[in-house]
Amino acid sequence: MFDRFRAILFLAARDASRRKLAFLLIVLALSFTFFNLLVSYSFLHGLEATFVNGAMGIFGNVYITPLAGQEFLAEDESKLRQIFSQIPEISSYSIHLNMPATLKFEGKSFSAISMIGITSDELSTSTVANNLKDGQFLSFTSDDEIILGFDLADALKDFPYNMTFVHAGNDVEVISASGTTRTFRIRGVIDSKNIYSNFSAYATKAAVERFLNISGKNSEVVIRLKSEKDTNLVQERLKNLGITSYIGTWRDPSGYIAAFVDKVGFFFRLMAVVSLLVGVVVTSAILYIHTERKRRHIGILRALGTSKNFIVGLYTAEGVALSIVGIIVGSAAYAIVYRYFTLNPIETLIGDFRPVISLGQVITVVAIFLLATLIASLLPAQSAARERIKKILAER
Amino acid sequence: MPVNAIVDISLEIHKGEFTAFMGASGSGKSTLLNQIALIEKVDSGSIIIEKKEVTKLSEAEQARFRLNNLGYVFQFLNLFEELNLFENVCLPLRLLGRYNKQGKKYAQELLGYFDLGGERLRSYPNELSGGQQQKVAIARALVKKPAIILADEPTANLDWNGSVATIELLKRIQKDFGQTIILVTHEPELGAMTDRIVELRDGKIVKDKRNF
Repeated sequence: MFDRFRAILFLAARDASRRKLAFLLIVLALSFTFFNLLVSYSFLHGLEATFVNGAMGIFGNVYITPLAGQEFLAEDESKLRQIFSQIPEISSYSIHLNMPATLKFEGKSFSAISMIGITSDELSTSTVANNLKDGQFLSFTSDDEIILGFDLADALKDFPYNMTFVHAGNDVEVISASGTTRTFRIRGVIDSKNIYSNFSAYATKAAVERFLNISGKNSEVVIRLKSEKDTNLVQERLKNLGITSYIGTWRDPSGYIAAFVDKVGFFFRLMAVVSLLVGVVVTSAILYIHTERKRRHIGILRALGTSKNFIVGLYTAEGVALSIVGIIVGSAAYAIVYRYFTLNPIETLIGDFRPVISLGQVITVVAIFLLATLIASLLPAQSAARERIKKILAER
Repeated sequence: MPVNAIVDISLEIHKGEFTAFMGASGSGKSTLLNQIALIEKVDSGSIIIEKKEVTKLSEAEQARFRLNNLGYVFQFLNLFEELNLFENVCLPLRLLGRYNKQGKKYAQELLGYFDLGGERLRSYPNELSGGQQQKVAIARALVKKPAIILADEPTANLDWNGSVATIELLKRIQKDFGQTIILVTHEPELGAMTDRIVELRDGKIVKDKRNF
């Protein structure tokens, strides 16, 4: 058996060496098909992830807000910290105190969605501080600093979306709902690609407490988990440990994103499946034609004295071997693209876009691709192996 | 309604004989040859080659028997275009695990016997004439020292001179190697060059004549 296997490998190698162009074209076609599968899959998932990660970056995995009709959370800070310390799935959290605010700069006023009072916990919890467009983030050593979201800074300067915005170093007046006015120095401008954050201002929690003349009150908590999979578990645990405020997720404040992701996500998944099917059909066509061309060879080998099963097994293996080469070349090309876009994400209005694909998903794509090639090689090899030898050999 | 290609045939071919199966188109001569070659199925009856009943063997066993004991020369040459002359001849040796120093030497000697040695070993089928390609096909059948060489219309694509040369070559092989050869042809003059003519009509043997 091994001798005949070597004979077929010899034939395949000689075929490839005599028909270098055809062999190269087949491998290139299979490589591009596989590459396209990976790109489609990862770019579509990346787009979805851009939406979701952008929202999660601001609101965390779990998001605690007051119950309907309540202004503040039922729990004070020490109780919250005590509860959070009992949940190992929590990676970090940030407790906010928010207030409605109107900002005024050089005679122009604009109402922010919120002035959000934060502590240094925010740096390890959300991605707000990661997207500085100008200046620096809060130092947390002064209560006179403010960070503006980009859209807010843009709206305060001339006309919105005219590429000019209020820069760091400028002073801005903040007017509370009760009419209290305070001047803050703009320490930085952030662009988190999230409407809520970009139309908000950030100051220290102490500054907002002073502004509102209250203490010990909290408006919301942003919680980051070690794994997103633990979201439901943590929500349940928080409830059991005594949190009576509303325990939601990033979907709650990002209603528009969540709805968009749900509706468009289905479309994206459908496109990924279609892309996969197209790849499978193209691969099958390429290998079917390649193996069909071997009918005469199969007939000669059978007449010389090899069995049907052996012929089927080995020509199927040839098809799969070609596909493996295609997978290797396609994967190498994809790795370059993946690395490039991971290091150089595409900046979009909704966030920085990067391709997203897990090892499990790659394995799934590889398995489906190999299965398609197996079937595409198997069917014509079986057909030729089953045909009457004389009939095949009589074909010119 | 099923048609019986051959009916009630009883035939014995001795070692070293050169036999021609002849008849008009549809007489069953190729079917009989292919059944002996274990390429076509036998519905009833038995075929015994070298004291072995081969019709009852499984498909895989028949393939193995064919590989080890039978050499087939096809009607349409059927060489591998991507292999050179030497590689085509050695292919059965590779399948049999006999592609070693001895096997290669024998193949070279055979090709020398067919006047295809030397530089021509590296030639490809499309660089050879029809007659030369036929010699390569015969050499490929002969290289494994088969019990029988079966040739189905080996001269079909050759001109008359080439056809005669091919039959004369087969006769030489019969004489020099003691080879048993069964040939299918529809040319009476070519059949007359063999030792024995078995004539078929409508699937039955109507004449079995020795030529000497």
